[in-house]
Amino acid sequence: MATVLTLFGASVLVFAVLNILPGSPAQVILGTQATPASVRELTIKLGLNQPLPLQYLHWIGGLLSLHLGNSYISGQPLAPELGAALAVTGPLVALGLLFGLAIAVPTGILSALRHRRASGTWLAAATQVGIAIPNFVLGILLIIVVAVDWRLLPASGFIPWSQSVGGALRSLVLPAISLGLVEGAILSRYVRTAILGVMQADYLRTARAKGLPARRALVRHGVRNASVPVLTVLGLELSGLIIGAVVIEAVFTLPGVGSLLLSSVANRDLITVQDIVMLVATVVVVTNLLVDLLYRVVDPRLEVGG
Amino acid sequence: MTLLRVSGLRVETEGLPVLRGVDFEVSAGERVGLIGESGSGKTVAALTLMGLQPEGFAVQGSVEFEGRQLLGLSDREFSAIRGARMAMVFQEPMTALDPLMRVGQQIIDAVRAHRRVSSSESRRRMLELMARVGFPSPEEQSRRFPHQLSGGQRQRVVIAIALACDPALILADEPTTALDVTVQAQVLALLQRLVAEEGSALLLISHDLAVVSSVCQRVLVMYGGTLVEAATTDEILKAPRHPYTAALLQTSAGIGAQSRLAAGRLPTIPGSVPSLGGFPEGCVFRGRCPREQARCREVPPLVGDGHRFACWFPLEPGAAPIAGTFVGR
Repeated sequence: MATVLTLFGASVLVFAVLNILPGSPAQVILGTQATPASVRELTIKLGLNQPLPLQYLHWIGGLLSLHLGNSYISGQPLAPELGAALAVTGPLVALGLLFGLAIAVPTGILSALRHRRASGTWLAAATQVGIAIPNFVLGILLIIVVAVDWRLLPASGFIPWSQSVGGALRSLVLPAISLGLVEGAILSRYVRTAILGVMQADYLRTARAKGLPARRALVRHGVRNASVPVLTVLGLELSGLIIGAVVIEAVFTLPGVGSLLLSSVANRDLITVQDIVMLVATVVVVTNLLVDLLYRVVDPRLEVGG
Repeated sequence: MTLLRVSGLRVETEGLPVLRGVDFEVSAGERVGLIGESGSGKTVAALTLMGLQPEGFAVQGSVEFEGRQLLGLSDREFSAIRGARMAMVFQEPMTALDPLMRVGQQIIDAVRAHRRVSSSESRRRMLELMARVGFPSPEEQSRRFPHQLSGGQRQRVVIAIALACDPALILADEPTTALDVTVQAQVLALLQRLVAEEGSALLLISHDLAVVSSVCQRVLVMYGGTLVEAATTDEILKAPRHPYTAALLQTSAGIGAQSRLAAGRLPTIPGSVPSLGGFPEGCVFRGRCPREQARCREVPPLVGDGHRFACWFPLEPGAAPIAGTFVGR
């Protein structure tokens, strides 16, 4: 219920903000040479002369019945275009998340286990540096070293999945690394803190008193207990990943949702912008819902209604 | 038969002594109380015996258990003893159990830590243990999570975990302190009955003389990381020799010390336990002791035949307790 309300609020906000923006889409589409009459005609054709609430209802009704509308610019239906962009961005974000986790979990655990030793401090320092690197800088560095110097992976562009799955994956590797490393470095700090918390917990001492060796006790009780705070951060980081994807797609010239969003903004293709922002909002809200549901699976203290 | 022999046990952290050379023995099946104010080193002593002292604590001396030297064992070697031969009941039942794991499973873990038994066999043992610590319907209650149990019930689970592999020695660190007064007596009686049935020895750590004297045959009195007196419970209650023990008796109104005190006035020991680095040279009780003299600058040894005490100017046995001396205002 809260999820639905949140999405409704988000849709109103997105619609309102974009319609407050100055400048008429029809004017932009037709260019500086357009006559007032043709601008008025296009405005009517796009339905932009109707009262705002009606425009809103029209848009949201379309979204609910999965009619995303037609682009203001090309006049083509948006669904296929958005679908193609999603086929790039979805895997990119997923790979970035996986890569981030693959970095965060081992480094976080290791730096927690060695927190009193120099190696642990070095690891913690390394993740701090990782957090400080902006993802686009990392992306450019990776292009220079891996793509240009070593010629291992493509520097930019995207081979569609329909042409070659391997090719598509290859074109996503560097972007996913640039995207995931920073998020992984942030997550690593949370994993470290969570594991340290478990290591100092009384129940871990109880487990050791039962006769479980240190490592076994930590595995037995650490995985679940540490996953509660990590899960929270993971849900929040996903929105960070999606935002990061916009930048990374620009760096690697990937035809993803981010690129589509940027070009639509530049073209004042308001309907496309609205749809994309709503899509991102939905993904974030649904993710948080899933995280909430996962909590209840992991933590019995949060029972229904709790 | 001597089960546990602790000698010259010293524990330091960051150069500050937590235990300053502790010597005592526990015989098989014996119930010994370790008593002292908070900050006296009781808990560190228990954790050190289990090899679970916090990181950064340096341990010296000797802990012989069932004829085996425990200090210097690797974690793996120590793990084979923990829970199997020597088990521990912790102070805080609220946090001693994993909040995300069913209590039955936590008991099963204790069984399986040392016994290679089938899952149905370990489950049967778990249900038996839960019944023994007083759960009327173990089958159903073993599926609860810790937050669904009361404090007393949780402590019963912790006791069941300690009993899981029939240990020869159970260390109980303030097992009833965190519980409601009405539940304290039940849990204490349960603990006492179970160690008697099992024939296990019990080292009961408490700040509460009433608790210790109702359960234990012998009492060790600890102050400032040293034992200041060790004797049978009877002797401690009737004829304490160390001024600190006498003072402790007086503060435990109702036992031993007769209440000659003005109504409405609680006895206290003047001053407070110093912080770790703040103990005086010589006798650790200097500064709070009414019998202090120049010689107390030297550390008094813990001596005596049977009834041992560490004091240069002990109270005479049988002398009337020093009522009044310690009454705070």
